[in-house]
Amino acid sequence: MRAKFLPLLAVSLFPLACSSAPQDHALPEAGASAGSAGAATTVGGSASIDTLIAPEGLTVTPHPGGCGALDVIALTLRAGPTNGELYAALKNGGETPACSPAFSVQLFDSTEQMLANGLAGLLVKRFYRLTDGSNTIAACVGPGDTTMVAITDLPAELALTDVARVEYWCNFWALDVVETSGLRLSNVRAVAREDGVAYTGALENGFDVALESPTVAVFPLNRAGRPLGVARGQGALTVPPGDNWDFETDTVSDAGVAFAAYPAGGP
Amino acid sequence: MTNFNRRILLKGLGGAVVAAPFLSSIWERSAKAQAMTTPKRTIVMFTHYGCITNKWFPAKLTGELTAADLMATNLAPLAPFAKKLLMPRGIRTMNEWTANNTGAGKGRGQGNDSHTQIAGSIFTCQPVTPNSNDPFSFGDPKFKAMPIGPSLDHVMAKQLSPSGTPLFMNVAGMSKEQPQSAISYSAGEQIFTAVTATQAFSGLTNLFKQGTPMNADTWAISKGKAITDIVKGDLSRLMAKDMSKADKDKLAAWMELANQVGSVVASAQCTQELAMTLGASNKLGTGTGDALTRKVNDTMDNADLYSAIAALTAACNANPVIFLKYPNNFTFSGLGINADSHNQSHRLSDASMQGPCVKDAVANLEKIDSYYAQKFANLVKMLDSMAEDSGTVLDNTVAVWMNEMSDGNAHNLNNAPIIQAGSGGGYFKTGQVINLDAASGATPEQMLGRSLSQCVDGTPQTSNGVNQGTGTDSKYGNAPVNKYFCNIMNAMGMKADASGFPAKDGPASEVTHFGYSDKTEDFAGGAGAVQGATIHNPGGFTELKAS
Repeated sequence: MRAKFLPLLAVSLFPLACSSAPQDHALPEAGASAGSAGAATTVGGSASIDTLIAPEGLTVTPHPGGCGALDVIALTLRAGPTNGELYAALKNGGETPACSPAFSVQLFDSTEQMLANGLAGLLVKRFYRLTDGSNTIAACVGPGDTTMVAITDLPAELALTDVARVEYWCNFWALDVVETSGLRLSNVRAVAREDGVAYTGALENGFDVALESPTVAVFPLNRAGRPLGVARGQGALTVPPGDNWDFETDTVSDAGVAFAAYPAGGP
Repeated sequence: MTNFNRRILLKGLGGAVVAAPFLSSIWERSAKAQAMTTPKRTIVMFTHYGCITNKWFPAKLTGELTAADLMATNLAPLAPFAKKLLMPRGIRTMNEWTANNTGAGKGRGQGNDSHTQIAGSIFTCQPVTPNSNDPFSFGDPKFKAMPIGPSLDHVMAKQLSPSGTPLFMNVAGMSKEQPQSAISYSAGEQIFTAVTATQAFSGLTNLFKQGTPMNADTWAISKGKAITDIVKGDLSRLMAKDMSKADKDKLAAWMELANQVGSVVASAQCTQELAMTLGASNKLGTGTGDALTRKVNDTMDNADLYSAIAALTAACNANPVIFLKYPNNFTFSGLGINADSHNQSHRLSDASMQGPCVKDAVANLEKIDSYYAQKFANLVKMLDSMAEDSGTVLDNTVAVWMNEMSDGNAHNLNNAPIIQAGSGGGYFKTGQVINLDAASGATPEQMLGRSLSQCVDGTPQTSNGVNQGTGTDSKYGNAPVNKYFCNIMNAMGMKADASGFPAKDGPASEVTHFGYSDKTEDFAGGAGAVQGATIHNPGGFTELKAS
């Protein structure tokens, strides 16, 4: 299973990763979205790297049960400025929404000694209401949707060259729900800043309640749809129902060739 | 510093104490300590994902706990120790997740993640932060929330352990966990790192000596801590008094002498031979199977090795607060279960919490319950095999097996499965099942819970992790765990502040308050959201006390 995973992933999921993420958001051409000339970025720097798993040779395997209908389609493990970082893209290949999802990993060396573990919430674009009469809102990865996750607090002392295998699993709720309005991102674009590339856009609060301290997460992607990092934006404000929040994220140094943007927190 | 520590410490000091006749406080406490008994310890074994309650609890809800009662359950391995067991029934732990936890006044707790908020609150009795009022929201805050205060092991160790920290071991060897499974917090939002078996054992080997019993204070001295630091509180109060220069000189001379003669005499029991007898000196198994069930030798597996180190730590009085944590999301391949333990707890093949039941899930969960019971029985057996005073080390210990929840599919925290071994030096009753929520009127049958209401093998069904259908009715089993924790702390002789919260320097001699609140509804909305959130029913359970 483990030995077959990578080639299988590369062959069968590459088209999905290439096509699904870009459909969701405006995708600038490599190097074209950085704006003004002279920006100290490496936009397009990863354009030639089409791998779905990085670093190359890293084995990615599901824990028993894995993520259910959510398949890992791309994953990056890298050293960040302060901690080890892991980014992943998953696609809901099932027929039901995966709600309130979390993604967990354990990192092993070649002797199967566990080196580190991590956990983060998967990001979603769709919102649903439970059909039990409670009116409860659920945030879910809809059927066919791609979700992404950023684990940015892996141990700083983690030597990435020692990591031979990543094992992952998910928690989520399969609920009886109907889709409803929620948070929607629009006009997202990459802009050059002195220290890298940031993303701007608008977050619309489609809920019937106010959104406190809105947040967004934008993942630059390589050509295969693999997330290379994350840029985050957070507002210290309240967005009333129906209103927009115009955001700008912090910067990334490698903006890849495309990006995928998500709201990063609900009301 | 506890009285028993002073007894042995001062005994060892001999002439130094005689040379300081004016130190009345020390003399008085020394004399008092002479009447005290041996050291006490608390050992907690913690497991995830609840149990099959109908097969875990004995049929009776109150009365004598017999071997026959246990033989009919998945706790059968504990039957030989029935007379030394105590099963407190009807306890609720904190802070329960339900689908309608949408803020203050709604539901039975916070609306974060069902496991994150339970793991964070179970030993802290504190809410987690940041709070979520949306049980089905998304993003990091939901899963990375942490409690706002320290956990019981640290609160206890601060008073009882020479290092000020507990011995905290993850039985699968994981050092630092994520908030979704972390239970040990040194302070608010500070996850405590577990030590490995090797690290824990190494810390004991330099205590292997012959002589008189070792205690927490002599251990501290062996580590280089000055005696005057050990009795710092007494000395501070004494030095604050108005004394003549001559008395000050005498005091200074005594302090110097005390530190000079403070050589350590280790426990007669704390030996390499004992380590070998318990199996604590073995190396972890590295063969086939999983990290818990891998064989160390013919009689013990890796999990038992951690228990042996815990037992040795207790015998050596190296640390009186020991927590053994079993892993989350574990695959018990050594038990023939090639599925994730969390998924199994939901009777599913993945963690979607709702869907068609997977074959053999209930049977597998019973197998896991029985395995845990055997591990706890092995720990109890080790503790009971070591003589101490007129009894055994177990008799002076409170060894408790606690679970993250009651039924794993329902995530319910009422009717918590808790079993204790040892009386904590005579503080607790033993050989009893005691119903602490008799006022609810629940029958013994109702208190067996409803774990078998879904997915019993052979019956095609759907598992539902939202409606709590497999949990015990929420009307029953709601006596707050805070009170039980107060009992444990009082059994260990801990002190409290004027409000009854644990406090190293007292002045109160009984802990009556622990945590943010003893009412699960007070956790809804997070810290400060419910007006009047407090300890509503202070004190321990008198029903559990031997006298």
